[in-house]
Amino acid sequence: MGNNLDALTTIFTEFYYWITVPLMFLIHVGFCMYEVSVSRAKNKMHTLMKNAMLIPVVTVTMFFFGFWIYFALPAWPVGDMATGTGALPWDVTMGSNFQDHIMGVFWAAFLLFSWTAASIVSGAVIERIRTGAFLIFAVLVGSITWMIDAAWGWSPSGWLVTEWGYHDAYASGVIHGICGGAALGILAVLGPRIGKFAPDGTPRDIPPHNPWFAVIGLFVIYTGFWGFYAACNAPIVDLSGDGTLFSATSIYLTPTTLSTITFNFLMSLAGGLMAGYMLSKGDAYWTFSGGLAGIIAASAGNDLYHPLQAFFIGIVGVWVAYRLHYWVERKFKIDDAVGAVAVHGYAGSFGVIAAGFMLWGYPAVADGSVSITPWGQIGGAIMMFLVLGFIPTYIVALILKGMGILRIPREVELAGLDYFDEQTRKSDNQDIVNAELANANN
Amino acid sequence: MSTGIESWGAENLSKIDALYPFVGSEKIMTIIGVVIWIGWQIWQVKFENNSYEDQTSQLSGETLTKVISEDD
Repeated sequence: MGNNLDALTTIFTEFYYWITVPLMFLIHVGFCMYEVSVSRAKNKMHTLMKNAMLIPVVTVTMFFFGFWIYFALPAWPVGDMATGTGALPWDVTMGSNFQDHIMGVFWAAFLLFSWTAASIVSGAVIERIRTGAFLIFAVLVGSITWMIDAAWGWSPSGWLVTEWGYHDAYASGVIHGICGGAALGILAVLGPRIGKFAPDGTPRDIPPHNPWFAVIGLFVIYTGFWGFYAACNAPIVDLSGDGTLFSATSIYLTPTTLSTITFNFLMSLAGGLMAGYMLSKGDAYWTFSGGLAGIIAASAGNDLYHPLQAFFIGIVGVWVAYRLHYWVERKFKIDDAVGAVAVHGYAGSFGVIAAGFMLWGYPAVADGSVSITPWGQIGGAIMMFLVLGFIPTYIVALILKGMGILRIPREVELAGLDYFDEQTRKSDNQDIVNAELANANN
Repeated sequence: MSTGIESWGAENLSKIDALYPFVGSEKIMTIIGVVIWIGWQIWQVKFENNSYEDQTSQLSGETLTKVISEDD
């Protein structure tokens, strides 16, 4: 730190990213509330534990290799693999270090994205996947495939950016597209919950055990998304290089402002809520999910859109997600318990492609060497949803199914995943009541 | 005897890099950590398999029908 201004800039940057971490923690809280509430009462504690235990396994694997992937693979396989030395788990910067105050904060910001990635997949597969199988997928998506796509498409030196002009400022594709695809890959192998489809193939609604709490979970996710958006920016950069023009930048180090993303976040939320409400005729679940899908659809270009453009894209994105969800459900008998593939996968992929048309010709990187194009965005959307999303989890799901460790046994699914724990609880409770009665009668 | 830093004096602060004790043990700690992680995941799958085997054996035809019909 050369002077007080440098010191202030450094401290502000550190604190800016640090505060995004507890905000993004709320995303996970919201996902847990939502997912548990959508499950039936007989499965709620298993559903909670499945989601909660992704936290430790994704955290340690992000420390061991996930963060290194981001620094090592931006150019690979088009160019050379970097060493990524500073992110190796045995490097001194990956620990308490007096010469580097911010590595742990950056790591945590990426880690919270990783939790979100795994949590998106978690909701889709509730009530029939084994926790052990899910935790393998959590590591695959949270610490490997999403980190590869972040290296390729969410870094100014990523080859999707430098070669194709890929632009995805707030992760429509790099988080939501890939996770929707990953969830679909698992669902295609895992199969629907027992009773989801009538013998003639007509889908049945499986009611949540607590619908009110489910939508409050989505409200909490909205809150956490403020941290997600903030973490996607570099907060204070001297864009002119002469100390006269400071602004925020996107992850690609291209200009934006906090004002822009605040406008656009809220307008795309509004568009999504209105579209979700109208399409579902006021259904609370689809209205709140629509709000989330509206944000996700506009996120790829929310660093640059006009607020009304974000509003329009939010509306169209939710229409696409809603229609595709029911078409895929009926056509392929896919039981996506929380609509994760639709809200994240379809809305996110639509958003990536829409940005290609809306931002056609804009510089994709600060030096202007490559521009945003529709075909670059379409290629990027396919890369996220299909290549890095669907295919890896589909293959791993087939392997786990072959090993007999993908799906819970039929009897346990029918009885409920919490059945034996609940019987134990009732028995323990009766013992206490009996002891209290004995005490009262003495 | 010292496991790491011996002074917080101003003359020493600018020279301090790693703050943690036992600098130089990072690779062996990484290996131990990876073994713990993989071991935990294997244990979890085995534990879950055993639990389901046990539960399935207790949920025979009539019992299962009774449990489902009592489900609220």
